[in-house]
Amino acid sequence: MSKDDKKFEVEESYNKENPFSIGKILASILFIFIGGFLVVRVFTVYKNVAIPALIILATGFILLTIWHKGLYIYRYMLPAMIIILVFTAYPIVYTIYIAFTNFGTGHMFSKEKTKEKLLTEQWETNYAYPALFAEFYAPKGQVDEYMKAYKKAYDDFSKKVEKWEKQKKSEDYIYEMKDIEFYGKKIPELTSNYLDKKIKLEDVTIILYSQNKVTKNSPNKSNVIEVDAEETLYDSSGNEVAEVYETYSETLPPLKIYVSEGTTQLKELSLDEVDKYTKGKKLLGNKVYDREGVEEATDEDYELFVDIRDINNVFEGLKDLTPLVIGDSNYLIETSNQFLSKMHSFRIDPDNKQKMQKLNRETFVYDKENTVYEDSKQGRFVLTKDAEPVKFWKEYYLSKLEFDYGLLNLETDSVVETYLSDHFRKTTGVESQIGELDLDGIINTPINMVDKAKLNSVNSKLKEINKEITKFNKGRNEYRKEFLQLQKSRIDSEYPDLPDSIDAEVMNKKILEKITAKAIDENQGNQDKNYLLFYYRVGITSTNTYTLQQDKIDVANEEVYRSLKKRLWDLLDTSGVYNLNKEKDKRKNALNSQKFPKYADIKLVQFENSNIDEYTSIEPGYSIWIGAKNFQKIVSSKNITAPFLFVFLWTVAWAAFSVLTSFALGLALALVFNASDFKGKYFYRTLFILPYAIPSFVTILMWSGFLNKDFGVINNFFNINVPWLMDGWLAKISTLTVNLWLSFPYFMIISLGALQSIDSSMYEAADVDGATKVQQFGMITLPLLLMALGPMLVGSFAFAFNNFGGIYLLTGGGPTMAAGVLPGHTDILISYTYKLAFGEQNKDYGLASAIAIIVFLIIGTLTFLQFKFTGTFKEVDNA
Amino acid sequence: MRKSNKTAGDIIKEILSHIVLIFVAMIVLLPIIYVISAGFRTNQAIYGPLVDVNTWTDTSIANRRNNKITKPILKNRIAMVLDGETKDNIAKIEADKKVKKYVPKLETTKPVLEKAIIMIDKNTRNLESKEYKEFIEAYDNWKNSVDPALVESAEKQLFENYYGIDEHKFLYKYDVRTSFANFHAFFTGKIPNAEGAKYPMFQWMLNSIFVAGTVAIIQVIVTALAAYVLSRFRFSGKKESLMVLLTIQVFPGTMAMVALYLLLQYLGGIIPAFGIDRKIGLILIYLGGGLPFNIWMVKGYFDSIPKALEESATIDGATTWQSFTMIILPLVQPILAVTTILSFVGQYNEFVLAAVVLNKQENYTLPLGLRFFMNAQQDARFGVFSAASIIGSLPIVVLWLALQNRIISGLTGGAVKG
Repeated sequence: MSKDDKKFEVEESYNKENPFSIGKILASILFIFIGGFLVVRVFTVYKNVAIPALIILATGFILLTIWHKGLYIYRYMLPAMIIILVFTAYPIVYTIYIAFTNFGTGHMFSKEKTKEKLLTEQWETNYAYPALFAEFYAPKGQVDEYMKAYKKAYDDFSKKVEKWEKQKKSEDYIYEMKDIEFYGKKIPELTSNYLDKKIKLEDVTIILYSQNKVTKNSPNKSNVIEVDAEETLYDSSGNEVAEVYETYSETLPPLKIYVSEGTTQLKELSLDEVDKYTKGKKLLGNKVYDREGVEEATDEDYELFVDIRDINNVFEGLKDLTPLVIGDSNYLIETSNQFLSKMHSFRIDPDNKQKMQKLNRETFVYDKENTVYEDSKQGRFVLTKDAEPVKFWKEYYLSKLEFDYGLLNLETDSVVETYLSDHFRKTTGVESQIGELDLDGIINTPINMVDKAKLNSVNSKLKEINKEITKFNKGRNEYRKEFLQLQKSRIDSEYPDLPDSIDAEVMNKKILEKITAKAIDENQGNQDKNYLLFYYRVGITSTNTYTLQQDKIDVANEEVYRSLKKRLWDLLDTSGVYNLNKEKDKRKNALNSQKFPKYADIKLVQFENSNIDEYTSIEPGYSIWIGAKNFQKIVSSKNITAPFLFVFLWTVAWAAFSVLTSFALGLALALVFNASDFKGKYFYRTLFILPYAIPSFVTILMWSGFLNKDFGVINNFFNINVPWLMDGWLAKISTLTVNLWLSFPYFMIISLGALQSIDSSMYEAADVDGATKVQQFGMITLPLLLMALGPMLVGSFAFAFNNFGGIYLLTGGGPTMAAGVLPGHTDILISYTYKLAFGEQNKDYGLASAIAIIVFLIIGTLTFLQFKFTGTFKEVDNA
Repeated sequence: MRKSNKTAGDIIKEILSHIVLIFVAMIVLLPIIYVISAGFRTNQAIYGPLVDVNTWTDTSIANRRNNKITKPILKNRIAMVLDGETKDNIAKIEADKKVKKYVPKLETTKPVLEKAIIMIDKNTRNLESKEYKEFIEAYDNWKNSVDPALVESAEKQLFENYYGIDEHKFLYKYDVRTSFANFHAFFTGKIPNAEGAKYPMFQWMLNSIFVAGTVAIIQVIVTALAAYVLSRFRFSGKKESLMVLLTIQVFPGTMAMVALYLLLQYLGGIIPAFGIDRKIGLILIYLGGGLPFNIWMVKGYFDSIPKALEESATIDGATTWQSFTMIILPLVQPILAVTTILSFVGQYNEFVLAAVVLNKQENYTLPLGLRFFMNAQQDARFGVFSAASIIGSLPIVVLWLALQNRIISGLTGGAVKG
């Protein structure tokens, strides 16, 4: 580097510029315009003041850089500054913020926005609570006018039909013409003329009754209606005995009437007011819901209504053409449903403007019991059990008898567990002792109200119980031996289940050929082959009988099932595909690695409880600051900690191994090339560079195809069936190998560069001293190389640590570790983060960001060390 | 030069290392060669031709060799079937590898076989083609001249759906044809033999080039401007800016994907084109990615250029802008070219942010699209995938091979500061 510390002075350079050029003025106008536009847009869209203020400040600064002497040099920096601030720095800061919130599915909005949504937005039509009765009215004169036109059009068309009949046109022709001419052309024309232009939606009145229709003459109609119901009775073994008819009464909600003029203005009415809204209007349609015990209204009085409904029924497309579909019963149902669910979900409590009330849908009333409280710990709105503000308290509960598998064991074994718990029950009296504990006043009581003396006595009793559990745990080995013996003898005595993974092999491979060959020899194997196929295709357990070439196999029959199994095993055994004894041994060996969990101690565990009724928590919640809870989750949540640890360890291993292996191979190749008189150096370098030069997404996807278990090139070529990407360990090895393949050229290149810079006189001196080549490599080449490449290796480690594509494109993070665990065996931290934030399951932005921060810290430390190493910080100081 | 004179041992050593290197190179490049060859074969599944899995149980001989029947075997088999050989015999003859060509025993077989061979060589499975029609004509003649039992057994073995006499469609699928159909599919988006499935691959590639190109160009301009003043001027806040650049460069942008997503959502509210599922939105978040690193790297290069030239220009009255554009820019072209190319390649390869931002199929970039295609088509259309890979890799590979030395010097980083 040329050390030339003289810098140019800013003001001096500025003086050379023309102080009032047209360019400056135009640029100023442009930036003012852009800034103004952004301010207006942001303010109108988000109603936010802070961001527009920032934009104004930024615009001001830009203008200063154009006009001010001292700031003028920043105009070169500005584009970079803006891009870095907005798209690099801000996202990082924001990620840190998100990591401390519960932002994610169910907590997507701020509290105010959520509240606003609850009060105004209609997010779900509740068909369980429809309005019972609806009436639709339109202005009389306009409806009459429309009907006149309609009748005229109808008469005109009838004449046409008469004419056609005279001409003896076929019936089909007339029907078709009716569809095309009348319903297809005439009616749409009419409706657009009248319904669109003259009968406006605002003129239409909708009246909804929460009960069956009530008239003035019978205002006190009973709320109780009788319902006929049919019920089938069964005897104890589930056989049908008799059908019973019974009548019971159902209470209708109290009468409520709502009126809508137009679509959105909805008002509650008293019965007396109804006339006021219907005066001078014509009833177009009404609909009583299909609800038991409620009579359907007749429409015989409304010729008009019948006509219009006919049109709608015959010509469905009209619904789309007209904004108002009068008389369509579906429309009435939908509208009134939407109306009720919208209006009745929440409202602001009239006594306390801060609070909301929820509608009780049984009674159609907002009552005090339905006040909505804020659960500020979880960030959601809830109804509490006792209709009081949310309260949290700590209480005890007794931990149950649980198997302890240790932290990293995700999979449990139910056979072993049943076996152990049987023995536990037989040999210890722990269960009855637990039953005898006097826990009144300790469980279900807030901790500060618990009687200390009693707590102590319970704890001491628990200690004794735990001693017994410890004793049992110590004796596990005995049971383990017993268990293994039992299982082994069981394996010996019966035919094992057929291997699961045979399916693909049977489909594709030699097994079939072997069986077929055997079939040809014995002239009956065809059937055997079919048995085998049948076994795998149908699955013996899923079907009870299966007919195959006149052979009826009843697999529900234990004996038939066993004999079929025997036959299949014989077939596999004699055709040499599987060796029965080997298979049995395999299973026995697998038993030896069986883990025997121990019982965890029983304790009084503290946990947090509240008066929130879990079932009445209101969706959606809002996002809140939850402190370090996301990090706590990583450390101590049952479903997250173990998988996270796995992922973390694998990420480190993956980064380390991928750098080491690729570096080793790259270096080896570089050593071969490096001999300065080696011919074809450039040629080989070009050749070996190819895997790196081809875009990595292409090569990784290509390898994912090659390594496919069923169709992949490798398995097919060597005629094997290795689950390269489907088995935890194999998938890890595969990802590393593929990574080695595509990244060794990079290390080859950088090693070549570094090797060339090593002074050859060192080797000459070593030669003189009689050092061997190996010694020279170990004492001269490697140390110097590592000195030169150290920072780059650290950088490569950091890159591999975050090499999303290398994992995700190949395996998608799979295979899965265990049911219900999000990350798979090959997931690294960044792909885990991606799955958490953008996967198919619930999005948890908070947790994802917390993991991102952990990665930040790791990479940050690494890079910091790298800078120290290379003296980058000094460079800044010298600047 | 460490050694000037070669001994015989050295020469042998060199030859040996050539052999080893070529062997290693063969192994390393085999997958690439496979993909390139697959790109030219129609009906290519990952391994071998596209196999219709539903036909394999029909007859026991069809199971042999997994329905992957090469042309010679197919010709032999037709001859044997027409001759009325039993299945066992056919299996035996096919298992015996010595029989290269089966000579028909019956005279009546020959004309049909002749037409069949023409049809197979022309590679047609199209029922309307001239070859197929001629074959069927010959076959019908044959049918009338032989024993009905033979006809029945032959039809069972030769044709799909042999009860439907009208549709004589061959049961066997044979050789993979060499053609440009996959490349055609890349440009039209229509996958052969899968009507209705549309994958606008060419559009994906254009998207990729558009996004990566725009980002590379904007980045290089912004980088050059910032690096210039950071290298040449002394002003307040300079040290702080450099420190910020260094620190920010540490944090991988991809880890902030949630925040970036939300940021785009916010921007989309203000100006829709800057939002989620827009290419410009993607460009915006890519812009921030490599910028700090680039500025740092280019600044190092600027530092190494002596200031004497500019000084003299300044004395002659050149403004800052003039000395930047007229003196510095021509000198730093190499590093700017490297930055542009590396930035382009990086963005062209990027997957995760694109996956976060883009939803609509037609907006996909090539990595996203190809992964989507691989997932959707599993093994079946490997030929199309290969063609797409070849074309998709071309720009990058050509850049690499043409500018190898420059890119390498950029990659190795340290070199530019020397």
